[in-house]
Amino acid sequence: MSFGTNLHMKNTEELKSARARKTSSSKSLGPLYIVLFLLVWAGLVYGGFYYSKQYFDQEIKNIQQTNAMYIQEIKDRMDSLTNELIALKGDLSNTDETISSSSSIQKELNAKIELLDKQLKNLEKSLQILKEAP
Amino acid sequence: MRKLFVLALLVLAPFLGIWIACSNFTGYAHALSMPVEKVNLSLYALEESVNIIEREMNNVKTQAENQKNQYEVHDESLSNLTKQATQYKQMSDQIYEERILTMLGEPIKVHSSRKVEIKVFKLEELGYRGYIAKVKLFDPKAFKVVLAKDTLGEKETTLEAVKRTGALLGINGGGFYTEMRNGKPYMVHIGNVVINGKLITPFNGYPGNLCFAGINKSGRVIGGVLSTEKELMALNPWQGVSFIPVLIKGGVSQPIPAEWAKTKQPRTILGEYANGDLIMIVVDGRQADWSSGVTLERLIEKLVELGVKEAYNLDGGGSSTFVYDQEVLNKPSDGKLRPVVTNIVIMP
Repeated sequence: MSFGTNLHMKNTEELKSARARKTSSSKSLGPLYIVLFLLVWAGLVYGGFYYSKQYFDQEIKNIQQTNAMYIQEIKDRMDSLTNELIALKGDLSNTDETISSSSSIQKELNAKIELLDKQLKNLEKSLQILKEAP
Repeated sequence: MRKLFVLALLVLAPFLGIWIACSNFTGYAHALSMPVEKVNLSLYALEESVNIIEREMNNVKTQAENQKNQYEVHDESLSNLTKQATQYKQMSDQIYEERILTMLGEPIKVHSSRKVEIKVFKLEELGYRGYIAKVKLFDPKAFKVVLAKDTLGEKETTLEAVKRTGALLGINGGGFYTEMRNGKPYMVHIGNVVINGKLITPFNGYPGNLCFAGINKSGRVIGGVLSTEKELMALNPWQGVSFIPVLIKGGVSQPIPAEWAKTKQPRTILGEYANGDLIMIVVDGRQADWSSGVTLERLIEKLVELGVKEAYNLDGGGSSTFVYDQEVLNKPSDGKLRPVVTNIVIMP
């Protein structure tokens, strides 16, 4: 065996030894990488979840606020309409009373017209009698 | 390197899904918004309708109030007109009353109650005297025809009838004659007598000028020559007697039968003024130093002069009697009171 051959053999063994060491080192770091990966992945998932939740919540909150504003506006207008209708009901009731009263007065008027007619006929008769007085 | 790339893809895959989901969420989220535009449009339309109704309501209310105010004004005007018409009628009636009273003179007796007003006057004319009662009936039931002793066939004086019934005024009524029944005198009224709306005997269709005279249920004088019961009942009689003749009807003097026209006799008259007041007259006669009586022609002239519009001659002669407050005021020609079959009395 020559020196070269011996060197080559030495190097080969060193390489093998290095590979073996490396392999041994890789095998010892594998679970750590996996755990680290899982932690990073879990963190990212949580971050995504947190961001998404915030985003959805904010969007829904915005919509709820908008809807609440709309509902409040509609409620105010409905209240206003209700008040106007109540006022209308009062006006209608008053007008009804006025019309009823007018109707009652009209009946009284008719009765008084009849009475006046009767009194005028009586007066005419009385004047006719007076005309023939001695 | 390749492993790293794959690993990165695997790691980022969930985030890619989240990003895609989030990118569309805004659009989906807006779908949760209330469709207020349509609601708003409906509300605007509703508000506009309510406003229109409100305006119309106000118009109707204003018109109704205006109408009510007008009605109230008309009501007041009508009340005033009615009041004035009533006052004018009262004034007219009062003038007429004054004119009558001017013709009759001062009353010697006056009675006024809820049922009746009676004024008694002296009648003093050239050649005859008597008494006149002007009777204003407020209740026609105050006027009564009374049968002697309330029995057919009987007789009683006017004074007895007045006392028996509690009347205030009384005059003799219709004609009568005497017949013998079972050997006893039986007084029979001539013609028809109505008491309280009923004929006291079956209708007597006596031919000739015999007339019915009385009042109807309204207290107005009715009468005439009536040949059937239907004609009599058509007048709605309440009280009445019969004699002859009709003197004045509807303001027109009636022709007097010749045998009645020119003879001066004591007279009893039932009549009515145009205003519905009754006039009851008794004229004395057959007493030269007091009153020789009056012819029917002259009596009609006097009645027309007094303004009488309806007048009927009742039983005269010795029957003519005028009683007031249980006192005989006139001087009956017989020198005493003659019992008669029917009397007319006025309750106080």
